[in-house]
Amino acid sequence: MSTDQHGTAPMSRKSGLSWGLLLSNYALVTIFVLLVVVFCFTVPHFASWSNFANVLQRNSIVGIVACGMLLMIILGGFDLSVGAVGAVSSVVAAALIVQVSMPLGIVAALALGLGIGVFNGFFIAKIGINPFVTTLAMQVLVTGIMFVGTSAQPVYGVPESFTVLGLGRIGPIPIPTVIFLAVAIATWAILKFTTFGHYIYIVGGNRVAARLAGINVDRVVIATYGLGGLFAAIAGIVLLGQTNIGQPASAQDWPLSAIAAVVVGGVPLSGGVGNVGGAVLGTLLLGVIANALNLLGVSPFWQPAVTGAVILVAVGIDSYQRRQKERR
Amino acid sequence: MISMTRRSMLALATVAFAGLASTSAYAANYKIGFMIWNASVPFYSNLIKTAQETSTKMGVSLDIQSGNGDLATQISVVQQFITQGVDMILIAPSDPKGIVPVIRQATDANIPVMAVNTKADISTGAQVVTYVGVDDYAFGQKQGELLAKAVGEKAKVAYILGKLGTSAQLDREAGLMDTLKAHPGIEIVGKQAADWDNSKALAITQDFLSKYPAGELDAIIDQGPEGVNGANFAAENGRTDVKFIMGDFPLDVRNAIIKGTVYGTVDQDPSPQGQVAIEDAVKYLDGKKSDVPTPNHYLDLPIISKDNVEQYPAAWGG
Repeated sequence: MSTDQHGTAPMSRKSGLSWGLLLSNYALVTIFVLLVVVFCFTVPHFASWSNFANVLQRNSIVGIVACGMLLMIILGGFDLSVGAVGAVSSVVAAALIVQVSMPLGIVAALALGLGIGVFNGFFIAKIGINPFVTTLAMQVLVTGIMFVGTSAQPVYGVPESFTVLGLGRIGPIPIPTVIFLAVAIATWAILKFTTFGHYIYIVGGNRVAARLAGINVDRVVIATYGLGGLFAAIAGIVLLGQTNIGQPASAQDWPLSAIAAVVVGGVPLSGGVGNVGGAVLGTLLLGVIANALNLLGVSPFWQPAVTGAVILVAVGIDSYQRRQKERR
Repeated sequence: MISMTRRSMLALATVAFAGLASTSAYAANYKIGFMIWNASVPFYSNLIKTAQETSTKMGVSLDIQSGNGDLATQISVVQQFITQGVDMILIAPSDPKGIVPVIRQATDANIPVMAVNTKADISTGAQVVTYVGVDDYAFGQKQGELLAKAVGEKAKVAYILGKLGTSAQLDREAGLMDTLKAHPGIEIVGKQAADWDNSKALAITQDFLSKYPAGELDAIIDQGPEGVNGANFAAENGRTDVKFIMGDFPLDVRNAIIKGTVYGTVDQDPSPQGQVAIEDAVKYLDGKKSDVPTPNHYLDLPIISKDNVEQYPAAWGG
């Protein structure tokens, strides 16, 4: 990881990868590949395409959320409302698909996610409430309104053909994974090729310097949170494709899962650095471990403990490396 | 729960009017407070509905408040009822022991307490009028009977649990395990917790199916209805060798039983619980205490499979 987040040249970030970032990413790739190889030999039934396809399919949702979370973390913030956004978009999509039509349901849910994200960005940028409070309040607000609107009842009646989106395959590849891949590539392209993407790094690195450099910081913040909300809404629609009911009480663990995935992927919460490869690898790493624990029949009491230990170890190694580099 | 309070206030207003119009119909206009540990769980929506309908019909004013899933909030809701001086407090606590101190406070204030749907611990002397609901232990036993009927005497079975540590999870598991003692050939080969969550239950089902290829697993049994998507997934992927047994009877489980992807379920219907709770409360307050079954007023738990699914409407989501 680049150790100089404050005050130094945005140029090195513009070129995308600093040396430290590369190294740390390779370390993560190595850990991931090693783990998969070890699991292939030690965990029965792990090494089959149908199992891999299952793992890809079920982690694509958190992966999509993690891509949006990555943008907000690079910006120096994060979003606790992604779960509420995911749930509300799946509920709204379900209701509109049942009542009106499928395209309208999807478009409206995406617009809603984008809108909530923009609201988050507005409160953070223009009013100056910090991201933790803003998005926590938004999460509670959105969840509350959704419960009022639905009486906490799931929305049933989505045609079964809609499950193609959540459970279908194109050849051997699950459709959610195709969507995840598209979102990841879009995120990568935004960060690498667009001025907006470069601004996200600069604002995350040093907000004051960014403002002095003439960047419209508020607009960058609002747009980034808008994207985060949009991605959460995409994930919500994929979730609807998986469960076929719009369930108000779902998706509650998304914010922390997505933050965990990004952080395990070697992206520090301090902002200014990070790339999409980290978020994707972090998602898959946690997903593969959960899958192996299930296949090994590890007790459900132990599973959260193992996941917690993995997060501590992975992030610990990364932070330690960074500190060593700082000392040098 | 804004809607809840608003709706119950509306009910209160209606009841007040009804009370004015026909004062003689009921001697006293009882005020009942109902604390539900988390009113936003879909399961409770029909229970709340029937409780409200019944209380309107019987001329009782009912105030339903949610504990938002948090024990401290649950306690403060009950304390608020005590301060308001309601005639009776109904509780559906998340934790049977944690709610005991505040039950004692209500007893000290001479307000009777009744447990609905989830139990309160009375082993340490806390006074509860009765418990209206179902016996989760019996629920587990019935799932066990259904399982034995589905797979015969020799089988390998995987078990999907609800949220670990909740009373429904613990009691349903105890009931199932005790029933299976009579069927030593049925072996539980794996257990995982899906936290009453649809997408987690799907993931766990997929992993069970990967771990036990065709021929190595006879059934997957789920404590809740969440595994129904997993059952449909299995059918689509040709794993018809595995029979699926759910718990509870929402619309999607009903459809899956009709379609044949789910073998059967045990129906814990929330609607009669809301109705019976209010009826029992009014009986008790009217002084007909002997008419209220104690210490438990257990309601029916029908076993539902393809043979009788048409007779039963979905318990919720219909």
